[in-house]
Amino acid sequence: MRKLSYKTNKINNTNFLTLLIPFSLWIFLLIVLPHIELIKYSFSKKTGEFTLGNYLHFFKNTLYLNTYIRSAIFSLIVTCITFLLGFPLAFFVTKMATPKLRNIVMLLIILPFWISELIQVFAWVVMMRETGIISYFFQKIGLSSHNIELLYNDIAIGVGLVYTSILFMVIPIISTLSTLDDSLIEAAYDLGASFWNVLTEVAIPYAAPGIATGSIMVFMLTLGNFISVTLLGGKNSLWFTEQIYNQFILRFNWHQGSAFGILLLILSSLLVWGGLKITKQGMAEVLK
Amino acid sequence: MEGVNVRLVKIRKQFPSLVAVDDVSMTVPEGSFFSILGPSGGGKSTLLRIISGFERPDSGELYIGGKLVNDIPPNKRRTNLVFQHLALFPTMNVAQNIAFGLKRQGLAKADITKKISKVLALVDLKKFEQRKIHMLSGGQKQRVALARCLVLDPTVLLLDEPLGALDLKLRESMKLVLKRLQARVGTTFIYVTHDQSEALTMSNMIAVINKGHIEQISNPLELFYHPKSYFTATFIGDNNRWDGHVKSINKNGNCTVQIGGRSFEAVMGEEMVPEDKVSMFVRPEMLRIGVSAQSEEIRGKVKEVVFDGTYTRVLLNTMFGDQEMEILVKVAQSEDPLALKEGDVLSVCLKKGIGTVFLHRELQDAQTEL
Repeated sequence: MRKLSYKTNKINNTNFLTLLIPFSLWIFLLIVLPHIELIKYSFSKKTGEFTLGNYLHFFKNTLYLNTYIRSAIFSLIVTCITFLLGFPLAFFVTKMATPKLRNIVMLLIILPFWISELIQVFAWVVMMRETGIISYFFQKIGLSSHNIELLYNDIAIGVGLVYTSILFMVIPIISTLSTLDDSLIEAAYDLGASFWNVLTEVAIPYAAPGIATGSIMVFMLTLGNFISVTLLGGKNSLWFTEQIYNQFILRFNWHQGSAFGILLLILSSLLVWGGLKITKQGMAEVLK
Repeated sequence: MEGVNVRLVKIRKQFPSLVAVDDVSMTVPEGSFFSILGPSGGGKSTLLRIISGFERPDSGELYIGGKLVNDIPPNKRRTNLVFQHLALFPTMNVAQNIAFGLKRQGLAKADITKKISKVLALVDLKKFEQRKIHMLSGGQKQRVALARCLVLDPTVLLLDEPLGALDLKLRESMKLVLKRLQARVGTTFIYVTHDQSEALTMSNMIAVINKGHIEQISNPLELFYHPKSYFTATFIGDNNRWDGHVKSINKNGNCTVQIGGRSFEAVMGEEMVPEDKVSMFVRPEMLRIGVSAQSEEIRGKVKEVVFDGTYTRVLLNTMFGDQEMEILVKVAQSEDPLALKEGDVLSVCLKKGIGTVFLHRELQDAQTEL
C-alpha cells in the first residue's frame, strides 16, 4: 500500500476520524460497554459485593459444565458437517457449473435466507413433528404403522443448525474458490492427479482462508444459537445458551447469567484461536 | 511406426461458432522440437489441448507413441503441458510443486527428493527447493514449470506460449535455454506460439496453422525462404509483394511474371496458368545493394532509412515501366547503411528465380489479424 504524503495525510486524518465515528460509537456503545457491564455483574452478588461465586457455581455444577462442553463439541461437529456439505457445493458452483446453472444454484442457496430463521426452523418442525410430513409419508408407503416423532433429539438439532448456517460456510468458500485459476486444476490433472487429489491438494489448500472464515462464522453462530436449538431440541436440549436464558429470564439471576455469558465468550474465542493455530493460519488472512 | 512420437490423423474439432481445428493431419518426429505457429484464434491452442487430452476431437485419430489415445484422459497420458501462465501451485513451494506429479506415480520419498534435486540442477535452480513460488522471478517460475513436467519424463512435452509473459531480454535468453534443454533431454517438445521468431529460433520443424488448418510443415529455413502458401508468405517475416500477371510457364518449372514493365523469373507456389493475376513475394533479406551477374538489377531512390538494431530497413521508390513500386530492402550493419540518405539513387540486385508467386488474393483474406 502506498503511504500518503505528510501533507495529505494531515487533511485526511480529520476525514478518517469523521468516518470512524459511527463505527466507534457502535463498537463502544453496543459491544464494549455492555461487556464491561456483564463482567461487572459476573463478579458481584445481588447485593453488589465482589464475589467469585458465580464462576465457582459453574465449575461445581456438573450439569452446567457438561452442557458447556456438549455445546462446544456439538458446534464443532456441526461446523465439520457444514464444511463437508458446503465445500463440494462451492466447488461445483465455482468450477463445474455453467454460468446459467451457477446463477440458479446460487439463488437456491440464498433463497431460504430471505426468510427469518424462526420461519426456517418452523419449516423443519412442520416436516419432522409427530403429525408432520415425513411421518405421514412413512406411514403412506407402509414403513410405519403409527406416527413417528422426529423432533426433540440431537439429530433434529443438528439438522436445523446445519441448515441455518450452511450459507455462511458456502459464501466465503465460493469467494476464495472463484479466484482459483482453472489452469491450476488442469495442471494438477495433467500431472496425473485424480479428482480427489485436485480437491485435497489444490482446491482445499487454496481455499483455506475462506474455509477458516466460514468455519468461524458457523461455529460462532451455532454455539450462540438459541432459536433452532430450542424449537427443534425442546426444553431439554442442553445447550449452553439455554442456561444463560434461564438465568436471565426465568430466574432473574443476571449475575449468574453474566458469568455464563463471559464463559461462553471465552470458550468461543479459545476454540477459534486454537483452530487457527492448528491450521497455521493468520487472523489477518482469514479476515481478508 | 518407429521414430514417430505424435501422429494426428484428420483431427477435427468444432465449437458452436467456429471450426477450431479442421481435418489436421501431421506427424511429429521423436525427439524433435516441433512448433505450431499461427495467429491468435487460429486453432493452435485447441490443437495443443487435444494432444494433452483436455479437449476431445469430434473426429480423427490421435496416436502418441503408436497408441491410439483419443479416449485416454489427461491424467493418464504420458504428455505434460507447460501452461501459458505456468499454473504453479501457489500454496506449495518449489519442491512440493515438482513432487506433485511424482507423488501421483507412487514413488518413495527418497527417490522423489533425489529426482527433484536432479531436475532442479538441469534447469539451473540448484538449492531452490524450499523457495516459495511468489518469491521467484518470471524466468525462475518458467524453469520451475519446466522442471515440474520434465521430472515426470514425459513422452511429449507440450508448451503453450510459455514465454508470452516475459520481457524481451528474458524471452531471448529463455529461447536459448529451452532449445538447449530440449537438445539435452531429447524429449519431443511441441511448442505453440504466435511469435515467429520463437518458432524460427528454436524449432526443428514448424507447422503453420491458420483458421484451423495446416498451411505448411517444414523446417525454419525452408519456411522462411520457400513459403508454400500465400498465408505463410505474408505471415512469416517481412515480404515485398509485387502484383502482376503470369506471362509464361517455363520448362524448368518456374514461371515468368510480368510486373509493370519488368518481367522476373520466379518459383510457382501453387498451380497457375498464363494470364492469371498473381503476387510475387521477395524477402527483403534476399535483395542486396549493388549489381552482380545472374541477377536482375533494380534502380531506385531512397525514400526512408530506418535503423532497427540488427538490420537497417531501406525503403526504395522505383518504376517498373510506368508502374510505381515500393521496395523494402534489409541491409546488414556490416554493409555500412549509415552512408545512405534520403534521395540517394542506388541499385539493388535480385537473384534470378528467387521470388515466389501465388495467385492474387484480396487483402483482407490474406492478412488475418496480426
